[in-house]
Amino acid sequence: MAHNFTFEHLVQAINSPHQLVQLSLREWESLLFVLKTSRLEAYLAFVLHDLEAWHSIPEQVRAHLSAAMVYAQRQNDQVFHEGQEIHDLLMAQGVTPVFLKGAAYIVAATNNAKGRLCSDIDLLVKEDGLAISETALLNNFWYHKTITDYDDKYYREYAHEIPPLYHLTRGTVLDLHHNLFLPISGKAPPLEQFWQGVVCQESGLYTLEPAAMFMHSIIHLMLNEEVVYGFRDMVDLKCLAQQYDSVGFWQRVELIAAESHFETELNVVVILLNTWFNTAYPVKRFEGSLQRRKLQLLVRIYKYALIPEHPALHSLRSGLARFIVFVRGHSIKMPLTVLVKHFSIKLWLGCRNWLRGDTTADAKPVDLGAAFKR
Amino acid sequence: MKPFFINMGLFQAKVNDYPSSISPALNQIYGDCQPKEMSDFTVSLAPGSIVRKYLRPQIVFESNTSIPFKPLPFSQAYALLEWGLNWCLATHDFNHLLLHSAVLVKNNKAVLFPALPGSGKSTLSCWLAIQGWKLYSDEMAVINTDSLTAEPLYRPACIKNHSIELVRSWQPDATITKVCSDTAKGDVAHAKFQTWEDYCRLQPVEIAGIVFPKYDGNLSEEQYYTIAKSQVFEELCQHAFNYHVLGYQAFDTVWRLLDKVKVFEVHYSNLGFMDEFLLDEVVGHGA
Repeated sequence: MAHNFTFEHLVQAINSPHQLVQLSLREWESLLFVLKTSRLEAYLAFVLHDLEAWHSIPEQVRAHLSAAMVYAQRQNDQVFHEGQEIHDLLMAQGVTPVFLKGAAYIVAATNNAKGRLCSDIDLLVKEDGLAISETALLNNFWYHKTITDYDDKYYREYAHEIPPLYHLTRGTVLDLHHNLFLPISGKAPPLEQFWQGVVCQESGLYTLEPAAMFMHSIIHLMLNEEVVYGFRDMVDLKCLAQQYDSVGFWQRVELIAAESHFETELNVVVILLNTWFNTAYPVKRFEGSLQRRKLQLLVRIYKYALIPEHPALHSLRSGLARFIVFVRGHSIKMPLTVLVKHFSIKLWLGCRNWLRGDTTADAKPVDLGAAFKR
Repeated sequence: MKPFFINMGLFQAKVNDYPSSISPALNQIYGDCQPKEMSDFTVSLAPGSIVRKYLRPQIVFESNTSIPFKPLPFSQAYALLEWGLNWCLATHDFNHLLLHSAVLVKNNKAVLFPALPGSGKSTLSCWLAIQGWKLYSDEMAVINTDSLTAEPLYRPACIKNHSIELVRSWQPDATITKVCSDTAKGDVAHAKFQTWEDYCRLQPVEIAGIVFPKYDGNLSEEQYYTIAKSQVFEELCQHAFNYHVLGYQAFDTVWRLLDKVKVFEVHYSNLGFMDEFLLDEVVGHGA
């Protein structure tokens, strides 16, 4: 396994963590590198920590897992702290903020919350509360970074969120959404069902109900043009399905999927969950043969596209699948005329950076102290 | 290409890809270390793009698919590797408190020199190392949060500009890498003062003092002060690489550490004074 670590080994690690004690140090090395890149190290660390097997894991490996847990726990605490502040601020304005994705799992303490990293906090507010929320945040230590006029226009006119907000002192990134998908795509789901089931968690913060949370995670995974942490997202979905598995849960999931026209996406995910994680969750049978073929095709594409982008797991097939997902993601996002324009601008900027040899436009310059501390 | 293993003691980095131009430096600094079975980091140094392989060549540091820094001129590859390794440690080790500080040991007692760039910290480290002190680390104090001991790292000291010649004049046969010119810190070289065998004999040791050194060539007389611990507390928190991740544990560690160590600020022009001062006031003269 050390020299030919495969995706199957990763899936097996998630499915049977207790068997990991048999790994050699070389095998652990490969697994840890892939877990780090997939952002699943802390998740698995917490799973292992609760098992008796923890003490049989080599010390050098445990050091990595412990460090990952410390980091994730700190982020977890930050999400609660930041979440509480945002909640109080917006509630005072009469707006109910609903936490989405990573922040929501943490706030709701779902089975995947321990060790779940999130690069930003995603928040949903009703569209009529958007302007008030933005103003309130801007007046309270949140700010927008300077972005190009084009990007600002993209957010304001096409997107389901406003440009990201940053906290002045803590650097936290906040994505404020008024929908769950880009309105310009024509595929933004009607939000009645999503808002109807909003739940107040023990901490007093709001999230979507489990079925809506599950469905939103699917929408996010399946409609995005990038699936960098796609496998981690599948592990999220695995945990949610496992935790809430019941007839009522799946009925509600199917209802939301039907009303928002994401039944194909739901099926793709459930088929992959069943394939990878040995489950038998219900897959709705499609009547039309065209619909069935589309489903089959998408399953085949995502089966490869969701393999973490790590050199050890790289294959031509997964590269190609990710390219198809990239093109598909963009074509779903906006009408063709808008897309062509958007793509040309982005391509030009990309080429310019590439020619300059600046493949790291987002990276920080070498500045020791500052770069470490962010 | 066969990977090069850098065993830093607490951690090991596997360098998968690197330009042959840094092979001499790699062998000088880490050629004698004994590789472990498992590496903690995987890193590579590669040209930024095909264009920049030939046109004003650049080098990019990558660690397990992340690229933390902007590319640097090709000639600075070795310095970039050392800085990259600092980054690896600072962003992955949350089991220790990591302070931006040099650690020198004598008579089984450690002295930390947390200092801002330009304070002469590395020059002082090298001088003390040549005087027989053990250089546990030039850049990063690795502190055990339970026992409050300092752990040794098998890493070189990073010396800059005028100091490079100074170190050479103090120890003509010192192991110093080829100079990387015109980096963000000026001319940079790395110097090593112990062999792998020496390193293997080092143990974690108790921290006896924290000294903020300030070199001032124009000073006619050495001056030293004790500093209020509340002030030092704040300084140390700011000097910690992972304070924001360790949170309460970092707070508690710094607090307990300050409770048991001596703290000084020293303005000096004479390096010989520092050696004596540290022995007299901080670590003692030993048994």
